Amino acid sequence: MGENQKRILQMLAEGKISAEEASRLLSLVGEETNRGDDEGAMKKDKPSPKYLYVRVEPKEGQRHGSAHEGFHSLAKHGRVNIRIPVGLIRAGMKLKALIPPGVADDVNKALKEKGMSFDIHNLKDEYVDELIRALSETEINVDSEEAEVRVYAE
Amino acid sequence: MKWPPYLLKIRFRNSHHSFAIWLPLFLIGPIVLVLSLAVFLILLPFALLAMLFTWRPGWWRPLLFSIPSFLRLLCFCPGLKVDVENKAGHVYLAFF
Repeated sequence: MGENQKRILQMLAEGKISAEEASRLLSLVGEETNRGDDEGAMKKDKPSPKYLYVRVEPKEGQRHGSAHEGFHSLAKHGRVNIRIPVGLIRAGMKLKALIPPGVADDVNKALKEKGMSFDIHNLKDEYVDELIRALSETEINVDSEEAEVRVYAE
Repeated sequence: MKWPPYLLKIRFRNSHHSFAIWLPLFLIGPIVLVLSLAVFLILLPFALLAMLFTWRPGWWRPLLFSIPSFLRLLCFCPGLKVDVENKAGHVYLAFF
């Protein structure tokens, strides 16, 4: 029995709510629990992403020149299309095990100077796996006047 | 099992130069491996001497595992694609 169900029964026993209200609340709590279980199952079934994409596309008005000139001359923003295998990110993260102790402290110090209070020693494999799983649900879309930026995983 | 990339496509273009090349890594890889092994064996005594004089505690692990780790990293490169274009030029790099 969940904490919420216990609390509802407690309130019923104390006479704070009627039997009808308790029944309604219990059914609502049951529905929520089932929904949570379904979402959890969906998350487990969802395959982890294979690639991380970073795309920057300048808006049409920002492009000058034509293809026969050899290459597009792009005003302020270039065009970027990067596809990174998620396995490469995972393997790259594991390289932190090779960072010598003194250097790791320097990295932490440099990160702190940039406003990121992060200890590289605390980066564990399970966190990386969780981060990669979370990537599948992450999509960054920035649509400005000059360019469209998209970061997503598939 | 993960294998290193077998092809690398490079395309480079700026206002002065332009080239595109397909590198057959499956042919170059074994040659590079044999050459690196030969260079490694030749330089080993000097490297050991240098290590003795510049030894710092905690550095044995990166020295020992860096080569296998980078080879492992290389095995995850297939699928990596970098395509960047701006007014200065165009760089395209893809591992297959």
